[in-house]
Order: sequence, then structure tokens, then C-alpha cells
Amino acid sequence: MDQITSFFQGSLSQRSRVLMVVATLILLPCIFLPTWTITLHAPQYPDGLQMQIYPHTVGGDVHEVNILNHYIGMEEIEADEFPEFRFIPFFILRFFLFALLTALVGWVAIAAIGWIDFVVFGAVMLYTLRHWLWEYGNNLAPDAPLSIAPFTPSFIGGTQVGQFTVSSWPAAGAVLMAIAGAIGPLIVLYEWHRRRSGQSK
Amino acid sequence: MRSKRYLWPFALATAAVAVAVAGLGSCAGPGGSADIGSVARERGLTDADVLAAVKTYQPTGRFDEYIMFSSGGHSGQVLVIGIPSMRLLKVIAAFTPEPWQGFGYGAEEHKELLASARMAGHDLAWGDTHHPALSETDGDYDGGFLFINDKANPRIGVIDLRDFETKQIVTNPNMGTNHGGAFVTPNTEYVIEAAQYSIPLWTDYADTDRYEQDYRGLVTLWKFDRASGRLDESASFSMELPPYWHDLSDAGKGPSAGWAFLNSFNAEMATGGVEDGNPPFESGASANDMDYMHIINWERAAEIAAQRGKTRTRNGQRIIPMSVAVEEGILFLVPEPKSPHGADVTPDGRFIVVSGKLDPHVTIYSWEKIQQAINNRDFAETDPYGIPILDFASVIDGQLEVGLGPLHTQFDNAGCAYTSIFLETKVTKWCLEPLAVADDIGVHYNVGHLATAEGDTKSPDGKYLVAMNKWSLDRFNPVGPLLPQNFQLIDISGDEMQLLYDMPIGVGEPHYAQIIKADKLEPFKVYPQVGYAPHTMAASPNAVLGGQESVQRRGNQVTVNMTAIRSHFTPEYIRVREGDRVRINITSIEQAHDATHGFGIAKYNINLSLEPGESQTVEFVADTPGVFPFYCTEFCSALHLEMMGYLLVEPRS
Repeated sequence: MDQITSFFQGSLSQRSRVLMVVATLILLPCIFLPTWTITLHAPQYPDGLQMQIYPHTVGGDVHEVNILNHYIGMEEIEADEFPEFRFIPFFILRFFLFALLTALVGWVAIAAIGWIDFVVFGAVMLYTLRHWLWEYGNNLAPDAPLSIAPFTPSFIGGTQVGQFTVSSWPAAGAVLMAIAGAIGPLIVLYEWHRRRSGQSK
Repeated sequence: MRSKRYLWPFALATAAVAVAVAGLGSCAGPGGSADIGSVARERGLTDADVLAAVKTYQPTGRFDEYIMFSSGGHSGQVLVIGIPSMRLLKVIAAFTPEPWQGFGYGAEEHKELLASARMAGHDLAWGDTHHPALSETDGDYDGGFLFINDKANPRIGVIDLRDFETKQIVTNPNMGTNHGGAFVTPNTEYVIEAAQYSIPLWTDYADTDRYEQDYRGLVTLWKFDRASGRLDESASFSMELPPYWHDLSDAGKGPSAGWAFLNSFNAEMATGGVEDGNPPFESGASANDMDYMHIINWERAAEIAAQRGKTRTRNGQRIIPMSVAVEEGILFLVPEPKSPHGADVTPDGRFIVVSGKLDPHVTIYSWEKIQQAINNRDFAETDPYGIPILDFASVIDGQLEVGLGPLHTQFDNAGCAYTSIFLETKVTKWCLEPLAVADDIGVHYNVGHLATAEGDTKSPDGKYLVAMNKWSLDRFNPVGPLLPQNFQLIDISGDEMQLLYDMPIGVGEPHYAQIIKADKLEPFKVYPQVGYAPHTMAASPNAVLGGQESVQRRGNQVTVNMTAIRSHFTPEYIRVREGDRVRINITSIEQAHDATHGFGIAKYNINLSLEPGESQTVEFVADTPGVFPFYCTEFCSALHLEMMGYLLVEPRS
């Protein structure tokens, strides 16, 4: 227990602080890059229809997807409808600042708090995405021209809806955030190993 | 011995596999026989046929290498055809109302366009398109615009190749008909149009006994403004010509840039009148052995036209009189074998090839010799109007016998030329240096124009030739006494020409066509913004965006602001009273590729085509009371039939 306490009260090595700088560099573009991509494939859309979910908005073929969705009575997808878009970019900015601070002062405690904050945020966001997918697929207007059974598109992988295959995958932003997130455990392992080998000497 | 017994099962297994394979091989697939040889045998196709099929067949989804823009003859349209597949890609409405494109069925912009295309107080519901001309930059097609003439009513149409739609039609008030045009100067400075049958020029009316005094030929140089994509009528001018009948024409390039060459026939100035015992036109206009090719310095003519006092104005058109043209040294004649059809400048601009259809030769004029004769003022004589005539023998480079009834010539990338031979119904390939016939190939039948890939530019591609045949006789299934024309695709990539494909044209009698490399064209997939006006190629002032739909009434004027999207119009009811003036501004708020809507109103002769983003306005008087469904006339979606509404015209009572 003492070991753990002292570990958190300690400072990061030079090498770990460099890793934290790497994390900041990875996090910064995530504010602007698409986080998630939803693609609709059907024979009459040879290039597919793509919606990119960014931290602050949703882009791509949203207009066309909405035209198609209205046939089954789905609510219109509009960026303004999602309160999350208003704060996600600032959250990413916050993680960036956490990482930057850690790199500058090198306190393990800050790194740890930042990392936990980051992981919890990621989990909540994935849950939110799943929630919205459920919401859109299950709240279909009863007077729609086409009535289909409510459905929930997978948030990772493919779902068949009518003639469309809907695939949902993490985009560049999510991949980069995952890489940034993985740096946390990497540092812990490295620091733990370093201390122990340092003590044994 | 034992070992042999072990082999038995293997032998049996091998035999079984062999039988299975043979069974599969002979098993007819969904389309009958499965191998090329037996299909060809069953269908009676020779090896050459199969080779032709392989050279032209395009599997689904594969684009053609070239695009041919062909005149549509009496259809008044332009045909867009892929090469080598010879698939018809589009019919562009130019001079004739065309319902699919909603061209002339109520849309205000087409009403304006067709109103500007009226002549002699008539709405003209047809045109006779002959000669398309692609815009050029530095003597090569640039894929920007296409110009098309109407021979019947002397007009020129301007088609923007961003959306393949006609944007402008200019009428020529001083011509009876046109034929020499459209053709363009090497940087599309001007689109040139020459008249055909002469009419009185400086007076409104004169009988034919005043033919030589009052009838005149004319060539008009329409100034093209590329930025606006329009012919600028005020910057255009014409030149008075003798009353010979002018035919095909071409612009010089390279060393001959700045000059234009116009054929003519009826240099006899015959006036016909077979009913009065005179020789009919056909013999009167063919009496002499020679007609005149006109050589015009258009660059200098443009400068002169801009000078004060050098032109006369007739019906709003600035015209350089013949006397001024002679004085300024910008108009010359040279004899050419009679009844010529083509005047085609070679890719290097050094020669002009002319064929008189009643003479079996092509005549090759040397630009260098023509220039020398002009510079040395070495003229044989003048015509009755004082125009200097160059000496035929001293300006030609040579003559070559190519067959009976030679008409038009196009070029390839190897210094050879292809001339259509009408009477012998064939195409003759011949080369310039040394001057000799290389090959010929029969075509079916009575070939008029021909076109090779980029064959009238400064850098032809060779590869393909299309013979545009006037008769098809026995080439296709019988369809009554009016037969389609026959476009024949010919492979000219080898030493020997090979016939590849017959394409029937059942919409009119095309004349000339031009073939452009497909990758030079970059048309819109959808209009660049929602609420776009194709006529001005800009945002429409009448655009209606989603949520802005409304119906407004002011007195008896009802304005409906409508949107169209899969699969509904908003609003779906138009309620008016008998006698109201109804104006519908309608915008397709679609952005998806190919999601076109139509807007047709029953019994009111209204139909619009609303391509993604397009904005159109239709205006009419609701003069007949009743209930009139309107609906989307393009099958846009699964609920297309439901995309409708009602125009309710309440009786006045």
C-alpha cells in the first residue's frame, strides 16, 4: 500500500513526460477530426452514404440520409438536437490541458486523475452514441409511409435496415483518442517497473 | 500385379472427375452456350464480327473513351453518343421543345429563350441542326461549350457543357438559311455562321429577276464571351458576300490562323424556275466546272468592323460591304471543283482540302501559295462583284482521285485523311505526304459527313471514325417506309480500316458530328447549390428553400413558392379561382446524384424537369376551372406515385 501511495506522490521520469507530450500532440487534432463514421450501403448508392460524427457536429451526407429516413418515420438528424456537441470539444481540450500539465510538472497524481477522467468520459460517450442509435431507431413516427420494426443499429459493425447495410465504425478521432488513452497504462507499467528496479539496486 | 490393383480406385476417381468436368463444360449457363466459339457459331458470327464486338462492348459501369456530339437533323436537337460503345447518352434539346428536359413546356426561362429564337413573327417548333462546333482553346477542343446551327431558320444555339443545356439562341436577321457553321476560330474568339440560300440583303423584298443586284450571301462572326458563356450580339459583325450559295467552312489554324475558308456553289447565280422552261436549280447551279472557295481574313475583318464608317447596319447587324472587303484586301476567291461540300483545314494548318461532289478528286490547296498569291496581288481575274480570284493552278498543292462523289474530310494523328465518298458509298483513307490513297472501306449507305476522334483539331487522335450514312436500307429490321439513318463506327487504328458497329438514328437526319476525348468534359453531377438557375448558371432569385414554402395572393395574382423532395411537393394544394394568374416558383431541394423530379400539371401543357438543386418558375392563367392533378414526372423513389398534388381552379360562377 505504501508503495502505491508513494508511487502516486512521486514524479514522472523524463521519458514518461516525453510520452505525455506525445499524448498532447495526439489529442489536439481529435478536436477537429471525425470521431465516428456511419456508412449506409445500398445498390443505388455505389459510393455509399457517409455520416461523420465530429466532436462538435455531424457532417457528410446527412441531408440525403434524412430524406431516406423520413420514409420510415425517423426523426431528422440535426446537429442542434444533440447537446453533447456543445461540450465535447471542450472536454477534449481539457484532456489536452491535463496531459500538457502532466508533461510540464510531471506529477503522477495529475496524470492518474486525468487518465481516469478521460476513460470515464470515453465510456460515457460510447454509451451516449449507443443511446442515440437506440433513440433514432426505436422512436419511429407511426404515420410514416413505410412502417418497419424498430431497430437499433450496432455502434460497432453492421446492421441490415431494408435495402441498406448500415455500418458504424470509429473514425480517426476515436482511434487517436484510444491511442492517447493507452499511453496512461503504458506509463504506469513503465514507471512501476522503473521504481522497482531502482529500489532493488 | 498387386500395385496395378491399387491403381483402380484412382483411375475410377479420375474418370469421375473427368465426367463431372465435361458435364460442367457442356452445361448451358443462363445465357445458353458458355464458350465464345460455340456462341459465335450458333449466331453465325465470323472472327471479324467477334473482334468488332470485343472492340466495342462496354461492360456495365464502364465509361466510353470518347463522346460524340452529333447534330440531330430535323429533330432540332444534339445527340450525345459514347464511343466505342455507340450508346446514346443524351438528346440535348436545342431548337425544338422537348418534354423530358421540360424544354418549352411552361418554364419561364425556356419561354424567354424560345421567344428570343422566334423569327419572322413565328414561334419555331423545329430546327434543322447540321454542324456542331465544340469550343476550342489553341486549336484543340476544351470541353467548355458546344455551338449548333439551325439551317432551316438561321440561328445558332449555345450549349453549356457543364450541364449539357442550351443557354442561348441567336437569330440571324439577314440570312435566309445558314449552312456554313457553326465553326469556331482557334480560341473561340468567334463562332462563324455562313448563309446558304441567298435572299435580298439591303432591301426587304426583290423578285428573282433582281437576283444579281439585290440577293446576297452573308457570313456572320458571332463574338463569344467565354466568361458569360454567351454570344455577344453587339460585338458581332457580318460581311456581305456575292449571292453564291455558301456551304461548309473551316477556320485556319497554325500558319493560317486568322483566316477562314468558305465553300460555295451556284457561282452561276442560277435562279431556277423549271415551270417557266428554265433549267431547274439542280442543273443551273451545276453548269460551270468551278465554284469559288472564299478566303476571308477574319482577324483583319474584326478590326475593320470596329472602325467608324466601314460598315453598314442592317436589321441591327453591322455588315462590312463587299466593296469595303475588296478595298481592304480581306476577301478573295479561288476556283474549286464544282458543288463542293467540305473545306477542311489540315491539323498543321498548311493545307485546305476541298472536294467537289461532282469531281472524283480531293483538291489540296497550299496556304503558303495562297498567301504568296495574295501578297503579290497575283490575281487571275475578278468576279462580277470585283472580288479578286486567285489562279487555281498556282495555289494548289495537288489533287488526288479518291472516288466518285467525295464530300468531307477528317484527319488522324499519322498525317492521313479520310474522305467520305457519297456515290460509291465508301470512306477513302489517303495520306498527304506522299500524296496517295492508302485504303478504302464500304459503308452502308450513302455516307454524308464523317467524324474522326478530335479529327478537325490541330492534334487529331486517330483511333475511331464514324461514317454518318444517309440510307440504311437493309441494315436494320424494317420499320416502315421512313428508315433510320446509320452511324457506322470504324476502327482506324491499323493500316486497314475495320467496320465495328452500326447505330441506327431514328430521330432525324444528322449531318456533322465532333468527337471529343471524354476526360475533357467535367459536367456537374448535381447543381452546385440548392436554388440554382441553370439559365443564368447562378443562384436563382426565385429559389425556395425548405421551410420557405408559401402561397401568396395579391389581387388575382397567386404566387406559390414550392419545394420538391422525395417524395412530396410542399404545398400539395394550389387553390386558385378561375382567371387567376398563377406563378409557381419551384425548387428541387435534392442534393443526391440522379434524384431528378418532374413537375407536370394535367391538361395545362406544363412539364418541368427539376434536377437536384434546380429552381424553375412557371406562370400561367388558370383559365379553365376544374380539378387538375399535378405530379412528379420522373420516377424518383418508391413513393413516386404519391408525389402529387391538386391544382384546384374554382369556377367563377
